[in-house]
Amino acid sequence: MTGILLRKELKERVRSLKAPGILFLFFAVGLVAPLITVLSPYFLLLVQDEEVKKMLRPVLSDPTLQMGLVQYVKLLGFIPFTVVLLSMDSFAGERASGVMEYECSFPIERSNILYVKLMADGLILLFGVLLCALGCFIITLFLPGELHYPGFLAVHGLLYLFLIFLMAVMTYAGLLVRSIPVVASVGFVGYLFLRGFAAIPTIGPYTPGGLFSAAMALATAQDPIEIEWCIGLSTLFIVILIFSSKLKLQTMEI
Amino acid sequence: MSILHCQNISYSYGNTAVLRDLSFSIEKPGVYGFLGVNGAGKSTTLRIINGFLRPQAGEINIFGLSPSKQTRAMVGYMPQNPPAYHWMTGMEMLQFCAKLRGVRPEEEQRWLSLVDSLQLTPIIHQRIKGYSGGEKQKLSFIAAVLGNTKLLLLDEPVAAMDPIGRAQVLNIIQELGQEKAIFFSTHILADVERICDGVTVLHNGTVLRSQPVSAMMFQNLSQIGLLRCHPIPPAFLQTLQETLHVKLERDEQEEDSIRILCEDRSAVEEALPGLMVRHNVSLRHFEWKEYSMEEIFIRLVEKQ
Repeated sequence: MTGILLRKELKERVRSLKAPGILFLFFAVGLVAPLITVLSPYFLLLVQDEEVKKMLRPVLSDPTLQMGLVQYVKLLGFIPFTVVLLSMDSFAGERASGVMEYECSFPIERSNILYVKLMADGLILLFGVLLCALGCFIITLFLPGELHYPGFLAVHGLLYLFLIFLMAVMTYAGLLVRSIPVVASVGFVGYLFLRGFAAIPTIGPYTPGGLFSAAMALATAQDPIEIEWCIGLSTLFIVILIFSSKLKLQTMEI
Repeated sequence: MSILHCQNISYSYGNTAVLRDLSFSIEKPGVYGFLGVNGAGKSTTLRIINGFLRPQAGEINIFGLSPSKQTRAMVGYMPQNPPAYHWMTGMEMLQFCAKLRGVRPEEEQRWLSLVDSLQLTPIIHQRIKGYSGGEKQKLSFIAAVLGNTKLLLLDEPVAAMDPIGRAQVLNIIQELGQEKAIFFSTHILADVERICDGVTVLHNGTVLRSQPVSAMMFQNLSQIGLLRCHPIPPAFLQTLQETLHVKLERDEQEEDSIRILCEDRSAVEEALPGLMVRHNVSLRHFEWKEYSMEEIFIRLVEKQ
């Protein structure tokens, strides 16, 4: 039954162009971010005025892989908004359109519906993160410097964990309200709060938003502080959110 | 064991009570109409039976079981608004529903014949987005009757269909009623009169009547004799009422008119001439009329 539902969920995301659009965004961020580092000196030197060129030349340094990665991690901050686009109508939309009610009339467990939606969104996000990494990797091949592969992979692992956390928050919100704009707002505001919490000294690095700071540190080949705690707590929050969503879905009126 | 048994169901949306002590049951396969004015609580009842809503009081049993995954395997459901799978083709939606119902691929031919008989074949591989309201409803109907369900809950199944589609779907419902129990809500009372074995009338959240259609017509004095005569002595009226157990209504506009509401025409036809002779009443005109289900429904609801 899970396979049938999962195929339907994935097909829906592909046919509605949601998945292709989101995957394109991921790939574009992966490509564009380090590309900005590569191309910006050339663009700046396109100015006609020789005086300005003379002033710019000593300031502009040749792009390096390190600079490309820093630029990349900075732009990754936009990626979580794709989760909002992807998950805002997973539950709220289907509840409002009656699809959820209809599917609940079949002999399937409600929790199956929850799991396949999470799996479908989770798979798309996984492909997205991989595409994003691939885009960045392609550009970094042309930049001088050596890529720290474990760190590069860890950045994307942390990013994925953060996206899953945000998706779990939005899923729970979608079970509480039927309005898609409200669920989308929860996603936006939730993201801002998470980043805000991460900035609080002492406790910030342990919150799910701290995954981003850890990713930044890893990208620049530094050791992030207490990353295990941050990963552990974020995973725990994800499990709690999914379990709460399951309980809510099983007991709620549709 | 009842196919469907609802006992003392109460349900409120916030402070608004929608269902109050609603009780009825379906004992054997057949077609059962579910009637009520807008807002009477028909859709809410169907949603409670399906387990989407939880009643604040009362009990529902489907084949002796409370609504669960097990009962959902035996119940087919067609919602009032067809599900919004706009991105699927008609065929994909039916295949999806068939798989969820556990219908084997080799049984596909059975439901494809329904697609054909409801004239959906030319559009079945097109996206549902482009279907008309009636076509979506036909598709939703086929999806509801898939599989080996024993009870079908249909919420206004023919509301958006043209007369031809409506007649086709009603014929299929009647045919399916030989082996399944079909409980369907509707506002088209002629359909109920035509194909239903039983009828449940809901008003203000309670069941006014739940009985076989024939009993509904019979008990509600559906036969009306329009009698015009002169004079109309009170003794004649009293004898008429007492001996034939009929209900009499006088027309205020026409003083010489009486409406005789009864269950059995033949008894009136047999006794009326003798009574008129005995009371020196001369006949001006007499004819029979029959109340339709719609008129009976309106009378029933207006009485409340």
